[in-house]
Amino acid sequence: MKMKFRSVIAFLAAWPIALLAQAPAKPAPVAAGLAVTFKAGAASDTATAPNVWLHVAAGQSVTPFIPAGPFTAEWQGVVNADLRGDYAFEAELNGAVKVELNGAIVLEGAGKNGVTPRSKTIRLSKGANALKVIFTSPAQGDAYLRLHWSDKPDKPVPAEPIPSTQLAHTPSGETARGAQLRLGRELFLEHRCAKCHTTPASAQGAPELVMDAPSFDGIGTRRHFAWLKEWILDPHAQRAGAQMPKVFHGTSAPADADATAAYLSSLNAVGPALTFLKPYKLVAAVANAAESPAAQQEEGKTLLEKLHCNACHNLPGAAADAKKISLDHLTRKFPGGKLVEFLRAPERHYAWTRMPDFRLTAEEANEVSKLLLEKLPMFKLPGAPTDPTILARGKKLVASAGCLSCHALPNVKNEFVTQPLTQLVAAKWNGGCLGEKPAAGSKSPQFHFTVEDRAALSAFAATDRKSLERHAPTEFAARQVRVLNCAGCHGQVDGFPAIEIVGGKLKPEWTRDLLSGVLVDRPRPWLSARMPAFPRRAEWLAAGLAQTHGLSPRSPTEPPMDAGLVKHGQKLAGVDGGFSCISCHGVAGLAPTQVFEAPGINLALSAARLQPAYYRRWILNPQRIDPQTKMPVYFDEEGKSPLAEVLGGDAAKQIDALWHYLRLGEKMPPPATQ
Amino acid sequence: MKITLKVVAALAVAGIVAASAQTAPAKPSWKDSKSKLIQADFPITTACIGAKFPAGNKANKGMAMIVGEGAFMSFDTDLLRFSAGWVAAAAAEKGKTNLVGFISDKGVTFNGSHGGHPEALGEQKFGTKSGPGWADAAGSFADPRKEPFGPLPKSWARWDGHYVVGDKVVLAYTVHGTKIYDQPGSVEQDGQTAFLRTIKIDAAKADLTALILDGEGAAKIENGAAVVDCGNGVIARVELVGAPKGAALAVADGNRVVLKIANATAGLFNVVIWKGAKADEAKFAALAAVKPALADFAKGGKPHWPETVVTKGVIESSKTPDSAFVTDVITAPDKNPWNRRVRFGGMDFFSDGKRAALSTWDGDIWIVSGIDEKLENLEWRRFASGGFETLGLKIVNDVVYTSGRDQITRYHDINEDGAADYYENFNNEITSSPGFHEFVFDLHTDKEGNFYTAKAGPVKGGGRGFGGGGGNGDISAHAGCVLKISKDGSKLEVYATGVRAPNGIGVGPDGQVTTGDNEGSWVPACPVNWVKPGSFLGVEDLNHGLDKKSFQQPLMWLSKSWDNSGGGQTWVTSDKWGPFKGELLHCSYGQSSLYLIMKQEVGNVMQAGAVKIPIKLTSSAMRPRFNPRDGQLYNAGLRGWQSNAAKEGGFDRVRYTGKPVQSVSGLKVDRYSVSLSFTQPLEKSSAEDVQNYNGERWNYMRTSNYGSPEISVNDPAKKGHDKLDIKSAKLSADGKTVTLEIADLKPAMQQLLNFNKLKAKDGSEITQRVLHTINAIP
Repeated sequence: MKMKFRSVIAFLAAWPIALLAQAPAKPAPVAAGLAVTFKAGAASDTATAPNVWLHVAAGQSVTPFIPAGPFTAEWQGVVNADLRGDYAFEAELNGAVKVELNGAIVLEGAGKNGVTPRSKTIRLSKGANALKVIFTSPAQGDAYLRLHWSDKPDKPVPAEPIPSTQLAHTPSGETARGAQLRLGRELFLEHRCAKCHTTPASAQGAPELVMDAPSFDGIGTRRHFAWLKEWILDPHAQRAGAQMPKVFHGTSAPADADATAAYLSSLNAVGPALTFLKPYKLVAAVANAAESPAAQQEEGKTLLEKLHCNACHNLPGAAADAKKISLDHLTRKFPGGKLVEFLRAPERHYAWTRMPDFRLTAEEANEVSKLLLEKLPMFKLPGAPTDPTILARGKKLVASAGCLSCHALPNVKNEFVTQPLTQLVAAKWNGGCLGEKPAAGSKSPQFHFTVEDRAALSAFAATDRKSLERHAPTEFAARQVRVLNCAGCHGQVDGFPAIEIVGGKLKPEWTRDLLSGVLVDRPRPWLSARMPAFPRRAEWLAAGLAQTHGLSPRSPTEPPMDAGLVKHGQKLAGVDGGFSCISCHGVAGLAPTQVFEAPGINLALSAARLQPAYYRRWILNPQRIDPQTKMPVYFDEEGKSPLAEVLGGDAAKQIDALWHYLRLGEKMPPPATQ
Repeated sequence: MKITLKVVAALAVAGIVAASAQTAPAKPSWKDSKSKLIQADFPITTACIGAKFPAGNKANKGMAMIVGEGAFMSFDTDLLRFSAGWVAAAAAEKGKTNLVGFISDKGVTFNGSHGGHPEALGEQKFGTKSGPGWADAAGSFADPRKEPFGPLPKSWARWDGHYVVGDKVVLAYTVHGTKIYDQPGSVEQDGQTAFLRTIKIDAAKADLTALILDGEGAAKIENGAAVVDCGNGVIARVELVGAPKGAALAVADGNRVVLKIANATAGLFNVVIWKGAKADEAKFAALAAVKPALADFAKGGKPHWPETVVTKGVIESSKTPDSAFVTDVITAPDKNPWNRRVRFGGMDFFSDGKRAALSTWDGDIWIVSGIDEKLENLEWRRFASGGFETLGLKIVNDVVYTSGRDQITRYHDINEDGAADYYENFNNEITSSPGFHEFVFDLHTDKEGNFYTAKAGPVKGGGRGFGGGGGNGDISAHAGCVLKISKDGSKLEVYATGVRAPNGIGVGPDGQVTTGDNEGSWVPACPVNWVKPGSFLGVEDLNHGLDKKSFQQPLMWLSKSWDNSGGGQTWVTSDKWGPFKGELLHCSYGQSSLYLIMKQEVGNVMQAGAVKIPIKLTSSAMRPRFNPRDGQLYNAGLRGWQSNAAKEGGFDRVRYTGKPVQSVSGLKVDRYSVSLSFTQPLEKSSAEDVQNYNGERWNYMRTSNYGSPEISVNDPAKKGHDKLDIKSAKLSADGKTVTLEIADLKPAMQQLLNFNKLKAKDGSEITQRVLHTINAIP
């Protein structure tokens, strides 16, 4: 690590503290997070960011609107201090950084995979303090920056991230434009525009360019004809948020939809044998889980409630919320038994489905299906027409109307052709698919875009559209978190961490495996809720969440395990001379001894799950991260442990020793229980 | 009977040392050993003791006693019955437990488990049903109690206490006015074990009937002996040896063996109880040949623990940032020849102030001497053992009293040799069910000499809800109550109801009772309760008939990071402890923290705020007491459940150094403001700069859930805190009080005021947080 540093100290000395502390007279900024402007050559792009965190892997673009290569980033906004107080800043970075507070430089330096020295103490005013941070990417390697502060600069405790809730900015024309371009690009991707208006595929491009749609292969066995017909005729009438356009127009539309549905209903090829993601380990296998208060609280809840289906859906019989997806159509949509198959593997015929895979067992899927269907009326549904003429018409429509641009159907050629993206001039992005109203006799698909949507698409059209060939995992993650409605549960339901923190908390590899559905140990098996899988999105979502926090999408190699520290860690986790972690936390096969209201996560899972930096912050003072946690605070502000006998009572050393012990995972030797 | 020493020797090999007056102690090698959960070198372990038969046989207050090399008996002090007798396990089963044949180590005090209690191990030989051990005046054994917890009516039978004489235990009780001494023992020879009850009776004042056993089959009397056909060629046989005329065995209800004692009978005799193969019945005669002999209890026995443990204290192990208070460690004897765990549950001083008695959760009492300025020679002596989770201790007129799950015990060192000889039942009216969460916390007296203690509610094993039977326990009459016991011990009354886990109470110089509690069901956050007689303190399952709507708001609430599990309170009665004389102090067990409680009375409503006195303790903050000699605060504590305490037990002195205290010392809520008074005058420009202050407020929800989310006062539907709008800060003329004008001030269960680096007149800076509760606005 090499650091070069200009003397900020001398600079600061010239400024009386009182001047720095003067509150700005401007009105308080209202928008959360900071505005950040990225520049590379002539290209400039402004976005909003939750914090002064950045990570760009070598060769990646910092945003889709900036070409890969050297760049600068400039964050602007305010940091709101709760109280007039003294603070010091430092940064972990690869690149160069300059931090200005209330107009004065407080930190300036460059580093290669290092941490800057801590700044001199800065007195911040209670309320808003103007913050500007400029980062310049390094010549080589991943570019990253994580700005930290300490509100106890006179104490020997590590700096920590500035709470994102204390950062704010005033929206500007630039932030609005950045948001509009992003909306336009996202609409283009989510509506699969490029499936018809083709654009050269790029390995570095937006992952959504390859998004599929439900496969037609064997669809006749999976959907009722009646539902297919209604859906094809007007998807938007069936579901307000439908992305599939209305394809058939005019007086022939009902007959076209009928024929198309009839043809699809005839597709009854039997696919390969059913395979499913491995379910999580059963709750019953966990000691005392059934007796835990959490389990008691969940008593009497149905599986639908336990899985929080209502975060996204209006459950049959419940009050309708326009933002959620109705399930009233299930008996019309799924033939007998097919809902169960769908629930067990929603992604089987549609890799990019937003419906997550809860890794239900057959019994659970049957239970969910039963609970959903029992409140719905059963229909005697008409069978699909089998008249060969109708089927032939349907097949022709499927091949010609553009269905196969998105939907797969082996052995049928997509005969639909339209202009490739390069030929769609921006000035014309107001007609056809994007017309406010369908033109008379138009055959263009109708998408139900809003005025705002169309403006955003036009703005996007006016760019060089190279952003489609660029992929910033942080932005992908932000989009997916929104479209998958992660916040429907996270931050809402007790026991679900806020989605904003997970990228800084969890190792990306663990997040990836969790999202892929390959982990079988649930960290909190006492909760009846479970994290479902989104296999197709797992890789980039996990990477993007970590990079949002300025962390690498690949966990750095840790120093070799130290057997001596492991021994200390084992002692610290035990009752005899330790913190008695074993009271609440299991350790591999050893159950916790005294779970009381608040069971803890099995410690064998911790090192694989947690970012080491997060772990250190958590152990040092868990209540600083979650004031409601039942995990006690053991270490003090002087960096001392109450257990003076171990490693000299040094908090940092003990925390490190515990980490070495945790890294043994399932091989952790049991701590003393008495 | 002789406790000797095969069992003990085996333990010594395992690295655990046993010492008794009768044998030379083996050299200790406790360094690397685990604490012993069940002691083998003292005859009594008191707990809820389960036995295999008769069905449901639990002695809620069971003295499990080692009455021979491999013979054990359990006595139920509520019902005055021997609940069971059993012998050590067969050789094949040895090694499965840490003490072969005695009792299992299940239970929160022993192996830490939530739910469950020790069970008799090995082979049970006899048992009695859970019911009175002596019949009523009419000869009936029907249980007269309203619920199956607590003692028999005093007019019927009263447990007086027990004597420990060497390895012998003499039980003393009074039945229908007749004093009875009852000494358990055994005869072990020729592969057979007989259990003895050596009974001494001076002169029966009525016809008495004692329960001996409930047979596993039909019982009959043969030549004065009772014989039970247990089936499969096994019999139980009971005989009286040396019985006076007027004492005889009889059979009741077909299989119950009883002892009938006629009015005016006097004598000393053995009841011999044996069970074995019918083929071995001939061996019984030899077992019954032992002459009745009662230990000479009246003179007291030799001390059980002649060795002392000497430790050296640590002066100024930590200090507050203003250096006004320091901690001195009175180093605990956690390394001791008996390998006892030293988890302090009660502490008080003798009148000389140089000695203190400390009870442990494991039922021991230690007396430490040498408490002086330097703490260089702290001598710890074991004074008593076998108590039932003795989590409170009070010394009155230099006599030690403890509170336990079974009773208030008064200890008598008859021969003044430094060890208790007579463990007197001062009052055992308190109920105890088999649950694990039946803690009886703390012991105080008021100025009239009445005693106060508090009993926890039977929290379920998982932490939420109460009772339900089994290992979760039952909501018995005193569950979740503050209890008052008259000065002479004759009467126990419920003083207040509705507490959950009040690990620590306080009684002020004027008799004001306070308690802490632990968040949980109906306790949304830890309170400091200002207890009035007859008040209902909030846990609705434990209201005991008091109107749930009469819930009395606590003096204040403490949010989780301040206190997640309350300890005891004390009042500053000393004028040698800085500027806080007359104030209330509260301990957080969970956070091992000490708080100054700043009270305010608004009309007849009490409320308060807290500020931390940032000292560090060896273990938890739990039992604070002022020493009558040096006027300093001492605290004893343990770590037995969730706490950030460093050690399992600790005893510290919090000593005032004489340096100026820099702290808030008073809090007063007015119509539009909150005033903070300081120990030091402040510098005006700093004190009146509103930028130096902020605050927030929130409420809790009292529900049956565990604890509570923190919710907005402004919008109860919203989680989180409301920021306070502090309009101005004004300093008083004397410079010692800052009045913060706060917009929209209103009652709030919790309000937090922060200030950062306020300048004092002397140039020092004060950074503190003040947490308070506004029950009423003047």
